[in-house]
This record gives sequence, C-alpha cells and structure tokens, in this order.
Amino acid sequence: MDKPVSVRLWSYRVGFGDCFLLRFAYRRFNRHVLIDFGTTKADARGGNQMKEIAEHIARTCNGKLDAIVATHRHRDHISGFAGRSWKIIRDLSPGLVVLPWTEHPDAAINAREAPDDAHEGFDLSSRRHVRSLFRMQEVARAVCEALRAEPPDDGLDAVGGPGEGDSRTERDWPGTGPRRSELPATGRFFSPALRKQLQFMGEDNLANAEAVKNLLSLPCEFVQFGSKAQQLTKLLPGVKVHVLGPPTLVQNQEISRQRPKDPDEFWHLVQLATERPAGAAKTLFPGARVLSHEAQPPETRWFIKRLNAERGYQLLELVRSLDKVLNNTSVILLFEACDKKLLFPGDAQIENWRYALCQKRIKKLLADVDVYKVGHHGSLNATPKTLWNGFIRKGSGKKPRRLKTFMSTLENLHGESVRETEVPRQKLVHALRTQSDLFSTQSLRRKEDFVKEFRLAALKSR
Amino acid sequence: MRGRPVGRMRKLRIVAQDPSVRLRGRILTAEVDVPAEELGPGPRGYRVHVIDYDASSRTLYAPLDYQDPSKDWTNEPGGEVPDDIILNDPGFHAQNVYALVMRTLARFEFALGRRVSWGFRSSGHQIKVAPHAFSDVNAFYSRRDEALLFGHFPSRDGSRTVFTCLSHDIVVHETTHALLDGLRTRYMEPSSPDQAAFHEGFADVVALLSVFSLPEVVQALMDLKFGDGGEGGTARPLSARDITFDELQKSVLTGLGKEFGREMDAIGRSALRHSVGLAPDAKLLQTPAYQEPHRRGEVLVAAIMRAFIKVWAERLEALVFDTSAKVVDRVRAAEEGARAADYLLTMVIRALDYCPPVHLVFGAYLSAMLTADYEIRPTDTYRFRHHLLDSFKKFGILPTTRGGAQGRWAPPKLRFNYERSRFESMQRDPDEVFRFVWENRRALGLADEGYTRILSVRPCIRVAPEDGFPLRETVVEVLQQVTLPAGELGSYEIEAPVGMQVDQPVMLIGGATVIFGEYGQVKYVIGDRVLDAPREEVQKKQSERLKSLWERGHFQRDTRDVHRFASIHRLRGLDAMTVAQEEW
Ligand SMILES: [Zn+2]
Ligand SMILES: [Zn+2]
Ligand SMILES: [Zn+2]
Repeated sequence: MDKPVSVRLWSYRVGFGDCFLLRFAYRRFNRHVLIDFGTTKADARGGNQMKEIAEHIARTCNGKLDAIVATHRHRDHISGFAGRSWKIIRDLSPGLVVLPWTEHPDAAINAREAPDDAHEGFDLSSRRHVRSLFRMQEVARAVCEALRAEPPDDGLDAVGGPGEGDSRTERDWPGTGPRRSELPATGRFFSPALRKQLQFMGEDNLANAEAVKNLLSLPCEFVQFGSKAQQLTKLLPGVKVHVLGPPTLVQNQEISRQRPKDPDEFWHLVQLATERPAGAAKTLFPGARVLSHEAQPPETRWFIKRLNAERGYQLLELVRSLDKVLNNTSVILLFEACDKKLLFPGDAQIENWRYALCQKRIKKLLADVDVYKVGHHGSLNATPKTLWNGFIRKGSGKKPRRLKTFMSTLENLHGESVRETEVPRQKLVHALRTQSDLFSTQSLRRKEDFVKEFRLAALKSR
Repeated sequence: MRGRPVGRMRKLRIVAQDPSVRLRGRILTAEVDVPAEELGPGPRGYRVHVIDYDASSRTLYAPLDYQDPSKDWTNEPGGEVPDDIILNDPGFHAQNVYALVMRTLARFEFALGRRVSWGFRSSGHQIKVAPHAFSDVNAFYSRRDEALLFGHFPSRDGSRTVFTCLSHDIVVHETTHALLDGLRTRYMEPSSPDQAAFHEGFADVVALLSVFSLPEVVQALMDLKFGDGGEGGTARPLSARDITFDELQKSVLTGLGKEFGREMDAIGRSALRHSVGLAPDAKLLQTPAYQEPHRRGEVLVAAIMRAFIKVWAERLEALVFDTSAKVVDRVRAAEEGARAADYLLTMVIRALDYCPPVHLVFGAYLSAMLTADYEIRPTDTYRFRHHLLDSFKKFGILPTTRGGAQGRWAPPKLRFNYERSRFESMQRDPDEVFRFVWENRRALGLADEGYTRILSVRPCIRVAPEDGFPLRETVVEVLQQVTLPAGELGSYEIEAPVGMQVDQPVMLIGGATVIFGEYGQVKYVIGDRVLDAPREEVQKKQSERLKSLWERGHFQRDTRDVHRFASIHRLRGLDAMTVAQEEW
C-alpha cells in the first residue's frame, strides 16, 4: 500500500488569520491539503497579499489541490475562498472540502421554515444551534453598522476602556463638569480602544456568504468528533486521520450535565435587540417629548456619558461571546503520517476540546504529538492546559524530536494586555518558545516573505 | 404623583408583576406604599434619580413632571391605569421604577431598623436609574455607573417591545444587588463558590417575596389555577384539598414559573422558572454544574421558597379547620400568603446584619436568619425558623454555628473588657469602636499579623412585632487582611494551591461582625478571623478558599469584569460555564 515518504508544511503570513498548506509526498505523486485561507486584517507590512498567496499555493501544488479544510466560518479562516483569490484556488480543482457538521445544508433552517422540524438526520436542537450561529453573525453585522453610525474619532479622550473597573480620578466623579470632549455637541461615545476591538471582532464575525457558497459548491465532507473522514482518508493513502472536534450537541450533552438551553431563543432576541437601533429606535415612544443634546440638564450629563460607554461594553461583550461560540465549531484534525503526528485544531477553544480531552484514549493519542498548530492564534483559552501538559515531546532545546509549534497571529488586535486577555497570550507564547520549536508568522518581517516552508517528517529509510 | 404629599407615605400604582400578567384582559396593577417626599422632575428624590436616557438611540426623554395633574396615575377612576399608558408612556415607566426602587429601599430600611446606603465609591446618595437604558436583553446594577440599567428588547415575534423596567421582579432584583452591595461591599469579591452565588440567589429571593407580598398577584395566581368564576361570577372558595403543600406548590410556584416571566427567560431570570421547582437534593451543591454561581444561587432560592409554601400551607390549614364550612375564601387565602411572604421578606433582609463581613457561606446565612428572627421574636410563631432549618437541610445546607441552639449563632464565651470604652460614642464613632476592638483583640480572636479596619458602625432600632418594644443594637463590621507570598503560607498552616508560584502574593481576609446590645455588651461575634492558630478549621477554610479561587482562575488574571452584574446576568442567560483551570 502507498504511504507518504515525507510531509512538508507551508505557513503563510495572512495578517490575522490562518493559512497552512500540507504536502504529503508519495513515491510517485504528491497530495496537497490546504487548511484555511483567510484574513481579517492584512499585515501592515505586507498589505493585502491574498492573491499572491493563492498564486504561491497554485505553484506549490503544481496546479492541483486535493483537499481544503475550512475549520470554521470565521472570516479570518475563509475570506480567501471569495473574490480574486478564490478564482485561483478554484482553478486548482479541489477534490474535497472538509467542513464542520454545523455547515451541513440539511442542518440549516431558513427563516420561513417551521422551527420545530427535524430534518435529514439533524434533530431539532442541532438545527436550532445552527440557526443560532446564523443569528450571531447577524448580531455582528448590526454591531458593525452601529459603529459606522458613530462619528469619526477626533483624537480626544473619551471614557476609559472596559478594563477600567472602579478606579477613576476625582474629576471623573459624579457631579464634576464635563471635559471639552464630553460636551454634548461632540457626540462621540466609544473610546478609540473600544471602537478598535468592536470593529475587529465585529468584522471577523460577519457572515461570508460568498466564501461559504463557493466552498459548498464543491464535494463536501462534513465532520464531527469521531467521524471517519472517509473521503479525506481516501485521498491520503497511508495517512491516518482522526477528527477530534467539534462534538455534536448529543456528545456535548453527555459530559456537560447541564440542562439543555436553547441558544436560538436567546440569540434571536439579541439579534432583534441589536438590529433595532439602526431602524426603529426613534419610534420607541412615538409621541413622547425628547430633549436635544443641547438641552441635557447638567445634572444628567455625567450619567449620560457613563451610559453611552456602558453601551459600548455591552456590545463588546456580546460580540466576544458569539465569537467564542463560532470558534468552537472548529474542525480539529490529527494526521498520522511518516511516524509523526500533526495536530490542526483551527480556533477550537476549551468548550470544543472538552469532549475529546475527557477521554483517556484521546489524551493518550495526543500525548506524542510532534507538530501542533497553535489554536486560535495563541489566545488564552484555545490551548487547554490539559492538552499542553499532556504533550510529552515538549521540553528544553536539547530534547530530541522536540515538539514543533506553528502560530499564525498578529499582535494588538484581539483582547487587552491589561486584562490579560491579549492575543497571542504572552504567557502561552513564553511556554511555546521555551518548550517547543516555535514558528510565528510574525517573524516574517519583509513584504516579500509571506511564506515559510518546513520539512515536518520523512521516512528514515529514504 | 401630583402635589405635595402629606404624611410619611404615599401611594403609587405599579405593574403588579409584568405586562403579560393580566386579569380579565387588563394588565394587573397594584397600589404600593412608598416614602413620601418632595420630588423633582425625573422623578428625582432623595435616594433615586430617574434619568430616561436610551444609549442605543441616543435619546433623552423629557423627565416626568410630577406637577402635571394628567400624570397622576394613582387617582385614576377605579384606581386603574389604562394599558395604553402602561405600555406606551415613558413617564409611567419612570414612575414604575421609581416606586419599586423606593419600595425596596423602604423595605430594607424597615427590616434593618435604620437608613441603608448605596455602595458607591463617591458615597453619593442618589442612585441613577435608566428605565430604557439600551436595546439589549439585559438589566443590571453597575457600581461604577452608580446606576440601575434596564434594557428593552423586541418580543419574539417583533411586534411589541418588552420593557424590563416594567417587570416587578427584575426591578427589585437589581435594586437588591445595589442595596446588598452597600451593606456588604465585600460580597462582590472573590471567596467561596457560595459567596459568588449569594448575590444572585439573594436578589432572586427578595424579588420573588416582593412579588408575593402583593395580595393581587397571589390571588391572580390562584385564579389561574382554580378558575376565577368568569365575568361577574364568584370564585369558588378553597377547600382543604386545595391548600396542601403540594397543591400550593403547583398552583403558585409552578404557576409562577409557567405563566409569569416567560418573556424574561432570555435575560437570565431562570429563578422564576427553575429554582422554585427544584426538587430537594442534599447532594446537589456538590455536583459540578452547581459550582457555577448562577446555578448555585438557585438552590438558595429553592430552599427559602419551599419554607415559604410550608408556612403558608400550615396557616391556611388552620383557617380551614377554624370555619364550620371547612373552606377559606380566595381573598383571605391570598392575604395570608402575602402576609407570610412579607414576614419572610423581613427575615431574609434582617439576616444580613448577622452575616459575616466576608466569606459568606449558605450555612452562615441560615444561622443569621435564625438568630435575627429569634432576637426579635423569641417564639417561632409562624414556624418559619423550623421550616427554614428543615428546608435547607433537605438541600444539604446545615447551619454554620458553633454550638448555638437550633442553628442560631452562639453567644461568645469569652469575657470582654468594657472599662475603657464609652458606648455612647461607640454607636457612631469608628475610632471609639476600634479602641474597643483593639483592647479586646484577644477575645475577638484578631490576628496580630493582620491589618485591621472598622468597615462600618450601624446603630439600629427594630420593633418587636409581639409587644411593640424596640430592640436596640449596634452592628459593627471588623475587617482584617494579611498579604503573604504563597511560599510563606505554610508557616501559618495554610496550604498553597498546587502549582502556585512561591512568590505569588496572596491576600487573606477575615473579620467579624460584632453585634452590641442595648447597653453596649457584645451579643454575637460572627465570622472567621483571617488567621487563628488555635483553631485549625480557620486555616483549613482559608486553604479551601484559595484552592477554589485558584481553580476558578482568580490568580491567573484580573477577574474584575467577571464580577460585574452585566456579565453575571449575560452568563446566566446563556447558562454558560467557566473553565478557568484550562486557560493561560
Ligand atoms: Zn481565527
Ligand atoms: Zn475563529
Ligand atoms: Zn442578578
């Protein structure tokens, strides 16, 4: 039987996002698998290089891409499957697209359909879960629209960020006069830091209908924890593929012992609530008397300023929680080839990982991983401690066959270091750097260096 | 709200529960008493300032002008406010929240026998209330904004707006957070899972009992279950069969869960729907799911509400057997329920004075309830103490006493030196109190290593319901803290959590609530000291707390945001879980 003789990896610098190309080389042919291709923020150094990256992928796989893995529907993982770069990828005639079960068209519920139908093997709660994902992206859209309605940043200081807590100076106390920037006429409400985070997260969570449609137009394999991934395996003879996530709702239920909660209902209301201000807000009480900004009584101004800021934190919190849910739909793949184990978990966070990690068998399977694609760009909750502590190949620089880690990330976009939620999380980066051979896309500095090639494995006899 | 109020109280009309609760097609309202005062536009009173600003649409609604006679909704013919006004007049909404916040404040002040302050850093006196703060599925108390913020959101079919400011239980829940924060500021801080759960549980208890203390609501619930006899008909009276514990539980608690608050489910008030129906289970608090604060809080609610129904059932039984017809009429039954709820409401609030300043656990709260009630009513006339003790036990919660009778706190065994302190000034002067505390630091068990502070000195007068005699007490909170590197904890017999760096600074806190009697004698000393070498269990508890905090991620990062009610309520709406041990 055929089996690969070597494995190579190309890590592309996409800014904030993921893009990895795997080559399984056999004696007479090569097989190429592209894992994610997306960006939300093009790297300032490189500009938008998605087209160049697509061309590089085309050259590298010599005109034929065997499979695409789209771990989850976040923009920073699939935006390359739309627009100009898609034309290039499509011409590589990808034979298979691997997607999480949540993308299965039969699990979707359209707006007119009765919501209490099971369909084609998807029970009602699974379908509701899928619909709630759709709603979350609608919430993200409403948040982005709300931001666009904000006046532009005029460089004056506004109310502090969400990490501010209770600490404030005397002049911020109730009853103190407004600063120039807070006078009602200025009309700017969110601090620049808050705006930046809201915008970044909001945009990453926007639905990317074109990319999804493009991917679904190809032969697809939808997977969940425990799937055999038969089609992918067929394309990769001699490679063992394990799907370790995402779990199904039933699997999740097994371990959570939580009463089932209907997320569709919650997000439905959140969607309606966030969408409303754009449209019908002024008609909450059609006949009621309203005071203009100039007529705000002085005794209300401190509070109005605080409430405007509070509104911003609320939006940020909403976007954070939906971002997390979407990350947790990530496909987690473990490849075994050439006596090496390669782990690609997309943006899976703890809630996704939990089902796999509570099983002894899986923990054992993961212990001797050789290559780890760092989850969710190095965020604080996407490399579970249980997983990391279980890796036996990590260790000091001299360790033979030391763990290799790959991190695609961009600093200062996601989270805040004052809250210790920065991405990548410095504590994790430190562990990766000292305990493994870490490659970060941030180390590619020049414009033309948007990719780096690695030899991951080779059969010793060759 | 027209005119100059005369007397100490004024009547205002509120939505009895929420606009979904209707009687013969109309929204059920109720008249409540609130302290009378000269109001400014808003309304803006001595403790509450309603500012009707909507941050989603950037709209400031004109404040309610209480001088306008057309806005006097209390004296509407028949005492009813038209549904259209209730739903569509922002002025009515402003009055509704004002009335509920003031009623709750007055309830606390009555129960505690003194003025109660908000917990703001600025020590401001007026809480800001935004009845339409934003378009969002949330409502919360924010300490840093010194405010109660009530969201509004479209109904599921998008046809109407759901106003959280019109929901009695939600307004009282948020107000309770604010009041509790003023009374026990440290309860927002990291401690045991119980303390993290207490704010939510307690706010739910006060909210539920506040709703039940309106006879209108109790009667509506019974009418839902037993039928109201139709237009012009009379409802049939209740027989012995209808008023058993099981039947009342079904008609009232389950009915409440089914019929009321359905629209509020999404904002995380599952208390109405889940906790009241929670079956007693002594192991529940040990299960992993019930380590989440919002879940854990529901156990407290379930235990207290169970005792409420028990007492009510007993009282109705007595009424039924007193009459020759062996029935009791609905109005009477509802009044009896409302009275029991009102009494229990006083009990649960009064207990706060007998709670430790830090590290509250449910068992200590139980002891506090039992002691506070005993002090004012030595005989357990309503049998509330009996049923609370029993109900908590069924949920696996035992009173935290050290040898007190029937679960109450035990009086201190040690003798105190009163010679050098003047009780007269101790009732208001923290320095005088500190002198007493310092002189008696051995007897009070204070640690020499600790930094000691008096957090509060609160004299109070409570009137005994039985004989009308006043009970005078002074409640003092003493706080001690010690900060040690984790490596040094061992020398104080405290275990550092496994994996904690030796140089990690760890703040230990402890302290006591000291209750002084009328003549200045120490009646109770409540709470665990920061360190207490002779008493092993004090150190053991500190070790357990550290371990639990470590596991919940407290030492990994700044958890300030997690302790904000905005987040707590959102997590509750999502029934989310936390997995801090797995994070970086
Ligand atoms: Zn991502
Ligand atoms: Zn993602
Ligand atoms: Zn709450």
